Amino acid sequence: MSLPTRPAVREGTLITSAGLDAQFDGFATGSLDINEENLREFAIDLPQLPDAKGEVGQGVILKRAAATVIGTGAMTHGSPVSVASYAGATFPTPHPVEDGAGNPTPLSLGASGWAMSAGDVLRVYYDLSVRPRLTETGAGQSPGVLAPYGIELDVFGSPSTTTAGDGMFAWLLWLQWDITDNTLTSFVPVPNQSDFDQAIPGVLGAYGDEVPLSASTCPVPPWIDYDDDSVRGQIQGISLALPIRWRGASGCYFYVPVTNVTVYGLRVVIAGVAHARNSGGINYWSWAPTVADGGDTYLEYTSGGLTAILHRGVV
Amino acid sequence: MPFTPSAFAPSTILTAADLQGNVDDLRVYLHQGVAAGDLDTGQWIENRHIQPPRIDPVRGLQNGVSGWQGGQTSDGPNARLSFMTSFFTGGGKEDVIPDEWAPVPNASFTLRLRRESKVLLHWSAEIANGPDDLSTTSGYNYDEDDRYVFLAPYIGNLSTPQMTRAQETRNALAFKSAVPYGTARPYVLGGYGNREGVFLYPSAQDDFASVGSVTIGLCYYARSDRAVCARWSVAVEAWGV
Repeated sequence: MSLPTRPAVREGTLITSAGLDAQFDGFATGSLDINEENLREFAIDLPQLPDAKGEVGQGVILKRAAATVIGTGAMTHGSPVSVASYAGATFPTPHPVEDGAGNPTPLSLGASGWAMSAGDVLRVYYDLSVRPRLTETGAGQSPGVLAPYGIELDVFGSPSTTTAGDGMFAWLLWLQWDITDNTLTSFVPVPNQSDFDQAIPGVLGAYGDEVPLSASTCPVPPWIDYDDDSVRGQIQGISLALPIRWRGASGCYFYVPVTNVTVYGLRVVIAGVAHARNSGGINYWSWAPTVADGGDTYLEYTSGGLTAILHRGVV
Repeated sequence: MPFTPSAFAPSTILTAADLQGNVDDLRVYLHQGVAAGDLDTGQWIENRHIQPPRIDPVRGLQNGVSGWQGGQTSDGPNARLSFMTSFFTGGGKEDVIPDEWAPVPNASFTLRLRRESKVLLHWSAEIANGPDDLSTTSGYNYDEDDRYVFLAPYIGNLSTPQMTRAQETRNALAFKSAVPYGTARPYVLGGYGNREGVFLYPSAQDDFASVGSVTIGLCYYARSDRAVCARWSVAVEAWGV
């Protein structure tokens, strides 16, 4: 069925120039009369549809897709980038993943950015090779300054107890985007994601944010607490912290904009060490600056990827 | 080619050539490329217009009007274990950029692309690496603590692993090394890793995979003598553009 419908030329009727012109004008270039009813039923996979290459938003399902290597670009571990654990009194400025020479490695979405319409679907994936470090006390013991995060454990054969870390620490990786311009100097957290820079109600001096505002967050354990000589579930001495060593960390995120928005770039940022917290019945990620412990707790990283895909919305 | 129909002026002779000319031009226009600017900018495609996919059960894939999708997994009641070893990847040679990679069995796809496309590989794997406590020989193998196993996507063949996208899992050592071992060697902590990633091909937003066959999958580079892929999954999406 064609939208520019025209009556057929029937035998016995008077042919006029206007009538003949009308048979074709509806299809003329510039008429904008050709709509889905002309073509889609038979042609959505045929060459009549314009090639989407270079034409923003012309893909049948996929509008745009792009990926970039983030970090140093090296697979081997010889020259990692190091991120210090936060030791201040409020909240850290997150570290944007960079190439080792101080140059951030965001995913640029081009000079015009990606224009997302309400209902479109933005999917983002990232990964990064990281190594949480804990260099205090060469034996790999837990950080000495654990308060108030320790838990008491019974010591085998003794009425005494000892304190071990509760294992609820994490380095946090999350996503920021720039929806201002393509200079990529105005990154803010993606929707449903916080920079964890809010004072936590009810806990003096605690900063972070609610767990539901960590939609793009990947937590990485900074160490593994264990006991070298446990006996029947009870430890015999202090707990030890096992270095995590190099590992792949990955995260993902999706967003369905409710209004039109143009995104110019995305980046992965890092901060730590955070700790789980509950206040007023709400779960939080809360910064734990005391475990920075003189710079002995830090995170190294090398290379990874950041991928973004924009789909046409389904109505 | 734009379509500009010839106008018929009043009081002129109507010729078959003029009439047929318009019809021919219209036919060419509709069958050889409608100008993008002539298309209505409203919603075109609804669910009912998507062609039902054709299933390829051998590869676990389906292809439809917009591209390919599907995947494979080792999960289920009879998990398939895929072993990885440094003996297939250069013996874990020390201090060299890895140049020998081996495929993770059953973790690749070959797609026949009918239009230029974007191809996205998803992968995940549960890795149990080691324990490999063979003595270290300089120039032959790595120290125990550096006996990682790397997983990386590849495109085309194993000469092009995406090493910048590799993810590693450590060797299951560094726990207690003397009896009684007991829980001092909890493999689920030391050498275990659940890794996952995606790989977009081509990565630049204005580049597209060419029409033809493309192979995309998962490969490994092991520095330890044994590692196992306990469970894994691979999936692929490809969109024509």
